[in-house]
Amino acid sequence: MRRSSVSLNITSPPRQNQSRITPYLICFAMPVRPIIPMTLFSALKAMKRGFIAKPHTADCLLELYGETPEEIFDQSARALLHEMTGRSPEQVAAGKTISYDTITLHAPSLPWLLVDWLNELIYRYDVRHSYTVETRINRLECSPANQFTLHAEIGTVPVADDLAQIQFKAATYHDLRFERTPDGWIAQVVLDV
Amino acid sequence: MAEFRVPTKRDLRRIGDFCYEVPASFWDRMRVPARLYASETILDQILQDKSLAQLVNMATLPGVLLHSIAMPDVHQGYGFPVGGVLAADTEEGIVSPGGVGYDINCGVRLLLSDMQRQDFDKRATVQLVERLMRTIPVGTGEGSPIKITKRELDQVAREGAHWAVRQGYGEPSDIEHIEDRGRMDEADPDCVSDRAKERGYVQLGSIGSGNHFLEVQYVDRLFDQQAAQSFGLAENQIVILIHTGSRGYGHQICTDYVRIALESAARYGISLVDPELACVPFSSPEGQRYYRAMRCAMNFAWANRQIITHFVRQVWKDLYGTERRLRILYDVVHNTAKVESFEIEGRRVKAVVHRKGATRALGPNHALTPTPYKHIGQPVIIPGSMGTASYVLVGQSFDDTNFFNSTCHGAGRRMSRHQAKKKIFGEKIDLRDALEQEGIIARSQSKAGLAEEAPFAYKDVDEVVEVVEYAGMARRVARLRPIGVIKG
Repeated sequence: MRRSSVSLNITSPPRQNQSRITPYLICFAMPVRPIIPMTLFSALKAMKRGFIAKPHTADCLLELYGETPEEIFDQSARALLHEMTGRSPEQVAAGKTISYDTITLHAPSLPWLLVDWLNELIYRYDVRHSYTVETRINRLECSPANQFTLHAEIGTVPVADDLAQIQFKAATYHDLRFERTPDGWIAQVVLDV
Repeated sequence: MAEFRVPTKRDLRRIGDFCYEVPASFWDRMRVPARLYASETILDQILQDKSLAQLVNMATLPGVLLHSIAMPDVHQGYGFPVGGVLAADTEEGIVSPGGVGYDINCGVRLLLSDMQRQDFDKRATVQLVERLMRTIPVGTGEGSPIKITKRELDQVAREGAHWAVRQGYGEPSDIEHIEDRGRMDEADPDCVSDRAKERGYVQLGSIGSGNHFLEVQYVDRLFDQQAAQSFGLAENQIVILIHTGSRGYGHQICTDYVRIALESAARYGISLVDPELACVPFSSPEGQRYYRAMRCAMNFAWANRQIITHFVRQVWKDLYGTERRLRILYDVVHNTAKVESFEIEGRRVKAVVHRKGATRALGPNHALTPTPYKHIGQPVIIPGSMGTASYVLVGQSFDDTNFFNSTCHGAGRRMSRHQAKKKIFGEKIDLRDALEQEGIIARSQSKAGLAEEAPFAYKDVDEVVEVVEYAGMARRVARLRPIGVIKG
C-alpha cells in the first residue's frame, strides 16, 4: 500500500476553523458511547492517525484522525472501505489488479471538500463498481479566496460481491467537523446508509 | 438571540393523550411549536437520541405552517429527524432537499396473492425465497436487470410507473393502485445532473441494501373487517412487501441540491441552525429546479418498484402456474415533498408538505384518495423489521392540519447499526438460524447487512401503530407477519 508521502503545500485553514478548535479530550467526552475499548482510543491518539466508526441511530458516524489534513482524506477512504466491506484496503486488494485514476475537487472549505471526496468515492462505487483501495493525496491547496482544491490519485479494484456489507447513499453535512487540534487534525462526518 | 439548549422531557407540554409539544417560546429562533406524537414508552425511547432537538430545529425554517411534527416512529436523522413532517407555505416558505432525504420516494408496495399460508411449508418457503433472491437484484453490488438507453432513462424520469407498464413491466390496472398514480407531473430531467443519471442508469430495477428488503408475509390478524374486505385482505392470505426507493439516482439528486441550497441559502437571507436543513425559497429558481429534479427521482422510484413487481410476478407464475396472480394493494411514498392545500385560519393555503420517513394517509372522499379506495380511505402500508409484524392501515385524514394528512412509515430504529451488529456478533447469535426457529426464512447478501437490521434494533411496531390509531391518523386494518425475507 502506497502512503501519502508527497510534500504538502496546504496553506493555513481559514481563521474561522482555527477559532473552533476542540481539544481532544472534549471529543472523547462527547455523550456518544465509543464502540471500541479505551486502550484503542489511546493508541489512536498516540498514532495521531486512524478512524473510529461511532454509533449513530440509523446512519454511520466516522471520526477521523491525522497529523495532516491530507491524512484525514486518506483515513476517510480507509474508513469508508472498512464500513462497506469490514476489511482493510490491503485485504480487499489482495490478489487483484489495481487500476489508477486521478481526482481533482474544489470546495469552499475543508469540511465540504471532505464531503465531496467521500461522495466521489461513493459515486465511483455505484457507477464503476469499484472499491478504492489506495489513495495518494498529491496536493491540497487553499487559494487566497479560501477555495480549497484537492488533487489525488486513487487505486481501485472491482467490487467483489462476497465482500459487500453495506452501501452508502451519501456523505452528509450533518455534525460535520474538520479541525486542527493540539495533537493533529480531527474530522467527523455522517454517512447516510 | 438565545443559545440553543437541547430540549428535554421537562420542556414538553402534553396537549393530548398521545401528543406533546415544545412551545415556540422554548427558543427564540422557533417560528412555530414542535409537535410529537408518542406513548410514554415511545417518548422515553425518542428522548435517547437527537430527534427532539432536530424537531425543534425544523420549527425554525422560514414559512413553516402551524407546527413541525414528529411521528411515533421518529428517530435521529440529519437535519430533519426520520419521521418528521413539515408544511411550508408555497409563497413565503422553503423547500429543503435534506428535508426530503437522500432516498427520494423510498416507499413500500404490497402485492396480494390468492395463496394461503398453509400452501407454504418450510420447503416451499425456502424454494420461493431462494428463487426470489436469485431473480431480484438485491444488495450492494447488484445492478439493473434491464437494459435501457440514456434517453429512456429520461422517459422513466418523466413518466414513472407509466413508462414501466408501457414497456410490459406490469398491467394497466396497476397504475390505479399507486400513490399519485405512479407519476408526478412537472418532472424535468434537465434539472438532473449527469452524475445522477449515471447512478440511476445502472440501478433501475434493483432493491439495494440498508433497510430495503422484499418480504413474503401472511395476514396474521384483521382489525377492521369492512376495510379488509374493501382491500381484498383475508386471514392467512400470502402477500409480498417490496421496500426500496430511487437508488443512486435519488441519492445523487439530493447530494447535488443540498450543496446548491447550502450555497444559496444566505443569498435569500436564510440562516441555518444545521447545514442539513439547507433550503431555499420554494418559489426561487433553485427551489423550482430541485422540485422538478426531485419529481424525476419520485418517478424513477415508482418505475423501480414496478419493474421489481414484474420480476416477482414472473417467479410467481413460474413456480405456481400462470393462473396465479399478484395484485397491487397499494404503493406508498415515505420520502417526499408535495404541494397540497389545507384550510388554515379560514383561508386555503398551498403548502409544500415535506415527509421524511412519513406516509400520506388520506381518508375517504379526499380528492387525492385513489379511485378504488375513495369510499373507504387509502391503504397505508407500514413495514416492520424482519421478524416482526408489518401493518396495513386505512387513512382517515381529510385536510387535517394536526398532522398534515400524514402518519408513520415503519417501526423506527432505536438501536444504531453498530450496536445491533455488536450484539449479534458479540453474543454469537446466528440471526438466520434464530429467524428460522421463528418460521422465517431469511436470505441476505451479507451477514452484517442482516445483523444491522435485526428486529431488536427497532421500536415495537405494534405500539407505534397503536399510537397512530389513538391519535386519529389512521386505523388498523390488518397485521402481517413474515415467513420469508430477502435483504441486501
